[in-house]
Amino acid sequence: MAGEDLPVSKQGAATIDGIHTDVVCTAFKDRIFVAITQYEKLGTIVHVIPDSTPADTRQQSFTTKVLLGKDEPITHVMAKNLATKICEGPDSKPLLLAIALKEHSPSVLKSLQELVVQFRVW
Amino acid sequence: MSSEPETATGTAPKEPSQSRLCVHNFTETICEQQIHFHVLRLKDSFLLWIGQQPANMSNLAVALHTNVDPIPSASLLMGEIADPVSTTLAQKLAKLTGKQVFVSCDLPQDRMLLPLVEARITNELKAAPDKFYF
Repeated sequence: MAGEDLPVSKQGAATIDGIHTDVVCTAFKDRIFVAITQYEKLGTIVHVIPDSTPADTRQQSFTTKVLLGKDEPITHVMAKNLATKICEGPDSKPLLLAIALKEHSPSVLKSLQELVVQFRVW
Repeated sequence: MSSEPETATGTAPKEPSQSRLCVHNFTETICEQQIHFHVLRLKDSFLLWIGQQPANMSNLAVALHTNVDPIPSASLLMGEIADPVSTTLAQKLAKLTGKQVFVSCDLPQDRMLLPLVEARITNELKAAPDKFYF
Protein backbone atom coordinates (compact mmCIF):
# COMPACT_ATOMS: atom_id res chain seq x y z
CA MET A 1 0.00 0.00 0.00
CA ALA A 2 2.74 2.41 1.00
CA GLY A 3 3.30 5.16 -1.49
CA GLU A 4 1.24 3.72 -4.29
CA ASP A 5 -1.35 6.48 -4.15
CA LEU A 6 1.19 9.26 -3.86
CA PRO A 7 1.65 11.68 -6.73
CA VAL A 8 4.06 10.12 -9.22
CA SER A 9 6.41 12.54 -10.92
CA LYS A 10 8.65 12.30 -13.92
CA GLN A 11 10.77 15.11 -15.18
CA GLY A 12 13.27 15.94 -17.82
CA ALA A 13 14.47 18.58 -20.18
CA ALA A 14 15.47 19.16 -23.77
CA THR A 15 16.84 21.93 -25.88
CA ILE A 16 14.25 22.74 -28.51
CA ASP A 17 15.31 25.11 -31.28
CA GLY A 18 18.19 26.17 -29.03
CA ILE A 19 15.92 26.95 -26.07
CA HIS A 20 16.14 25.00 -22.82
CA THR A 21 12.75 23.43 -22.05
CA ASP A 22 11.83 21.71 -18.79
CA VAL A 23 9.03 19.19 -18.48
CA VAL A 24 7.49 17.90 -15.26
CA CYS A 25 4.60 15.44 -15.29
CA THR A 26 2.80 14.52 -12.09
CA ALA A 27 -0.08 12.08 -11.86
CA PHE A 28 -2.64 12.68 -9.16
CA LYS A 29 -5.59 10.42 -8.52
CA ASP A 30 -8.08 12.79 -10.11
CA ARG A 31 -5.89 14.92 -12.34
CA ILE A 32 -2.71 15.04 -14.39
CA PHE A 33 -0.41 17.98 -13.85
CA VAL A 34 2.05 18.83 -16.62
CA ALA A 35 4.42 21.78 -16.61
CA ILE A 36 6.24 22.70 -19.82
CA THR A 37 8.45 25.67 -19.31
CA GLN A 38 11.23 27.64 -20.96
CA TYR A 39 11.29 30.20 -18.14
CA GLU A 40 11.61 27.78 -15.16
CA LYS A 41 8.28 29.17 -13.99
CA LEU A 42 4.75 27.95 -14.42
CA GLY A 43 3.52 30.76 -16.66
CA THR A 44 0.06 30.28 -18.10
CA ILE A 45 -2.09 27.68 -16.36
CA VAL A 46 -4.71 25.96 -18.47
CA HIS A 47 -7.29 23.45 -17.35
CA VAL A 48 -8.08 20.88 -20.03
CA ILE A 49 -11.11 18.59 -19.76
CA PRO A 50 -11.61 15.80 -22.30
CA ASP A 51 -15.11 16.00 -23.80
CA SER A 52 -17.08 12.88 -22.90
CA THR A 53 -19.28 13.14 -25.99
CA PRO A 54 -17.06 14.41 -28.79
CA ALA A 55 -18.78 15.92 -31.84
CA ASP A 56 -16.50 13.85 -34.06
CA THR A 57 -15.91 10.34 -32.72
CA ARG A 58 -12.75 9.87 -34.80
CA GLN A 59 -11.02 12.73 -33.07
CA GLN A 60 -10.90 13.57 -29.40
CA SER A 61 -12.00 17.02 -28.37
CA PHE A 62 -11.23 19.09 -25.30
CA THR A 63 -12.60 21.99 -23.36
CA THR A 64 -9.84 24.38 -22.33
CA LYS A 65 -9.97 27.15 -19.78
CA VAL A 66 -7.14 29.52 -18.94
CA LEU A 67 -6.98 29.77 -15.15
CA LEU A 68 -4.02 32.12 -14.93
CA GLY A 69 -2.26 34.20 -17.56
CA LYS A 70 -3.02 35.60 -20.98
CA ASP A 71 -6.12 34.06 -22.51
CA GLU A 72 -4.93 33.96 -26.11
CA PRO A 73 -6.15 31.65 -28.90
CA ILE A 74 -2.62 30.21 -29.29
CA THR A 75 -2.66 29.03 -25.66
CA HIS A 76 -5.81 27.00 -26.34
CA VAL A 77 -4.29 25.58 -29.54
CA MET A 78 -1.13 24.47 -27.71
CA ALA A 79 -3.11 23.05 -24.78
CA LYS A 80 -5.52 21.07 -26.95
CA ASN A 81 -2.75 19.65 -29.13
CA LEU A 82 -0.60 18.66 -26.15
CA ALA A 83 -3.65 17.15 -24.48
CA THR A 84 -4.13 14.77 -27.42
CA LYS A 85 -0.85 13.12 -26.36
CA ILE A 86 -1.63 13.16 -22.64
CA CYS A 87 -5.36 12.51 -22.32
CA GLU A 88 -6.07 9.25 -24.11
CA GLY A 89 -9.74 8.53 -24.49
CA PRO A 90 -12.79 10.49 -23.35
CA ASP A 91 -12.59 8.91 -19.88
CA SER A 92 -9.16 10.34 -19.21
CA LYS A 93 -8.49 12.46 -16.16
CA PRO A 94 -8.59 16.22 -16.62
CA LEU A 95 -5.24 17.87 -17.28
CA LEU A 96 -3.79 20.85 -15.51
CA LEU A 97 -1.24 22.29 -17.88
CA ALA A 98 1.29 24.97 -17.00
CA ILE A 99 2.93 26.31 -20.11
CA ALA A 100 5.56 29.01 -20.50
CA LEU A 101 7.09 29.22 -23.97
CA LYS A 102 9.32 31.85 -25.55
CA GLU A 103 8.00 31.09 -28.98
CA HIS A 104 4.94 29.28 -30.34
CA SER A 105 5.22 27.47 -33.65
CA PRO A 106 3.90 24.26 -35.17
CA SER A 107 7.39 22.73 -35.14
CA VAL A 108 7.93 23.57 -31.46
CA LEU A 109 4.53 22.04 -30.71
CA LYS A 110 5.52 18.81 -32.48
CA SER A 111 8.75 18.61 -30.51
CA LEU A 112 6.88 19.24 -27.27
CA GLN A 113 4.41 16.48 -28.11
CA GLU A 114 7.31 14.08 -28.64
CA LEU A 115 8.99 15.29 -25.47
CA VAL A 116 6.00 15.04 -23.18
CA VAL A 117 5.28 11.38 -23.97
CA GLN A 118 8.78 10.50 -22.73
CA PHE A 119 7.65 11.42 -19.23
CA ARG A 120 4.41 9.48 -19.26
CA VAL A 121 3.00 9.08 -15.76
CA TRP A 122 -0.65 8.66 -16.72
CA MET B 1 22.54 27.73 -34.39
CA SER B 2 18.81 28.43 -34.22
CA SER B 3 18.61 28.72 -38.01
CA GLU B 4 19.18 24.96 -38.35
CA PRO B 5 16.89 23.50 -40.99
CA GLU B 6 13.79 21.82 -39.62
CA THR B 7 13.50 18.09 -40.17
CA ALA B 8 11.19 16.62 -42.78
CA THR B 9 8.45 15.94 -40.24
CA GLY B 10 8.26 19.61 -39.23
CA THR B 11 9.72 19.00 -35.81
CA ALA B 12 11.95 21.64 -34.28
CA PRO B 13 15.49 20.38 -33.57
CA LYS B 14 15.55 18.79 -30.15
CA GLU B 15 18.47 17.65 -27.98
CA PRO B 16 18.32 16.08 -24.55
CA SER B 17 19.26 18.38 -21.71
CA GLN B 18 19.58 18.44 -17.92
CA SER B 19 16.42 19.37 -16.03
CA ARG B 20 16.66 22.52 -13.92
CA LEU B 21 13.45 21.95 -12.02
CA CYS B 22 13.29 19.55 -9.15
CA VAL B 23 10.67 17.70 -7.16
CA HIS B 24 10.94 17.31 -3.41
CA ASN B 25 8.67 14.86 -1.57
CA PHE B 26 8.38 14.33 2.16
CA THR B 27 5.90 12.68 4.49
CA GLU B 28 5.07 13.45 8.10
CA THR B 29 2.77 11.87 10.60
CA ILE B 30 0.71 14.66 12.11
CA CYS B 31 -2.18 13.96 14.52
CA GLU B 32 -1.75 10.24 13.73
CA GLN B 33 -2.37 10.92 10.05
CA GLN B 34 0.08 10.46 7.22
CA ILE B 35 0.42 13.81 5.49
CA HIS B 36 2.29 13.95 2.20
CA PHE B 37 4.06 17.00 0.85
CA HIS B 38 5.13 17.48 -2.75
CA VAL B 39 7.16 20.50 -3.80
CA LEU B 40 7.99 21.54 -7.35
CA ARG B 41 10.98 23.85 -7.28
CA LEU B 42 10.80 26.72 -9.78
CA LYS B 43 12.62 29.96 -10.42
CA ASP B 44 11.50 32.54 -7.82
CA SER B 45 8.39 30.46 -7.16
CA PHE B 46 7.25 27.01 -6.15
CA LEU B 47 4.27 24.72 -6.22
CA LEU B 48 3.32 22.91 -3.04
CA TRP B 49 0.84 20.08 -2.83
CA ILE B 50 -0.30 18.75 0.51
CA GLY B 51 -2.57 15.79 0.88
CA GLN B 52 -3.26 12.27 1.98
CA GLN B 53 -4.01 9.07 0.18
CA PRO B 54 -5.54 9.01 -2.35
CA ALA B 55 -3.56 11.89 -3.81
CA ASN B 56 -6.19 14.20 -5.19
CA MET B 57 -5.53 17.68 -6.54
CA SER B 58 -8.90 19.27 -6.05
CA ASN B 59 -7.88 22.89 -5.80
CA LEU B 60 -5.10 25.31 -6.67
CA ALA B 61 -4.37 28.72 -5.20
CA VAL B 62 -1.74 31.28 -6.06
CA ALA B 63 -0.30 34.13 -4.01
CA LEU B 64 2.38 36.70 -4.66
CA HIS B 65 3.82 39.77 -3.08
CA THR B 66 2.84 43.13 -4.58
CA ASN B 67 4.07 46.66 -3.98
CA VAL B 68 0.65 48.07 -3.14
CA ASP B 69 -0.14 45.99 -0.07
CA PRO B 70 2.03 44.37 2.61
CA ILE B 71 -0.36 41.41 2.54
CA PRO B 72 0.35 39.23 -0.50
CA SER B 73 -2.32 39.10 -3.15
CA ALA B 74 -3.96 35.67 -3.40
CA SER B 75 -6.45 33.96 -5.63
CA LEU B 76 -8.05 30.56 -5.99
CA LEU B 77 -7.54 29.30 -9.55
CA MET B 78 -9.38 26.03 -9.31
CA GLY B 79 -11.66 24.30 -6.82
CA GLU B 80 -14.25 25.17 -4.24
CA ILE B 81 -14.23 28.91 -3.47
CA ALA B 82 -15.80 28.23 -0.07
CA ASP B 83 -12.65 26.39 1.05
CA PRO B 84 -10.08 29.07 1.93
CA VAL B 85 -7.33 26.71 3.19
CA SER B 86 -5.15 26.71 0.05
CA THR B 87 -5.55 30.44 -0.54
CA THR B 88 -4.64 31.36 3.04
CA LEU B 89 -1.68 29.01 3.09
CA ALA B 90 -0.41 30.36 -0.24
CA GLN B 91 -0.72 33.87 1.15
CA LYS B 92 1.22 33.01 4.29
CA LEU B 93 4.00 31.27 2.37
CA ALA B 94 4.22 34.18 -0.09
CA LYS B 95 4.60 36.53 2.85
CA LEU B 96 7.27 34.31 4.37
CA THR B 97 9.34 33.79 1.24
CA GLY B 98 8.55 36.85 -0.89
CA LYS B 99 8.10 34.46 -3.82
CA GLN B 100 5.18 33.49 -5.97
CA VAL B 101 3.56 30.48 -4.35
CA PHE B 102 1.14 27.91 -5.75
CA VAL B 103 -0.61 25.75 -3.20
CA SER B 104 -2.93 22.81 -3.55
CA CYS B 105 -4.09 21.59 -0.17
CA ASP B 106 -6.26 18.51 0.00
CA LEU B 107 -6.79 17.93 3.71
CA PRO B 108 -9.87 17.43 5.85
CA GLN B 109 -11.11 20.51 7.71
CA ASP B 110 -9.39 20.11 11.06
CA ARG B 111 -8.51 22.98 13.36
CA MET B 112 -5.88 20.90 15.14
CA LEU B 113 -4.22 19.56 12.02
CA LEU B 114 -3.79 22.63 9.84
CA PRO B 115 -1.56 24.72 12.17
CA LEU B 116 0.74 21.71 12.60
CA VAL B 117 0.90 21.14 8.85
CA GLU B 118 1.75 24.80 8.41
CA ALA B 119 4.49 24.57 11.03
CA ARG B 120 5.95 21.52 9.27
CA ILE B 121 6.15 23.41 5.96
CA THR B 122 7.71 26.43 7.62
CA ASN B 123 10.34 24.17 9.20
CA GLU B 124 11.12 22.54 5.88
CA LEU B 125 11.32 25.93 4.18
CA LYS B 126 13.79 27.19 6.75
CA ALA B 127 15.84 23.98 6.72
CA ALA B 128 16.06 23.63 2.93
CA PRO B 129 14.94 26.76 1.06
CA ASP B 130 16.96 25.60 -1.97
CA LYS B 131 14.51 22.73 -2.37
CA PHE B 132 11.66 25.20 -2.81
CA TYR B 133 13.01 27.87 -5.14
CA PHE B 134 16.15 29.11 -6.88
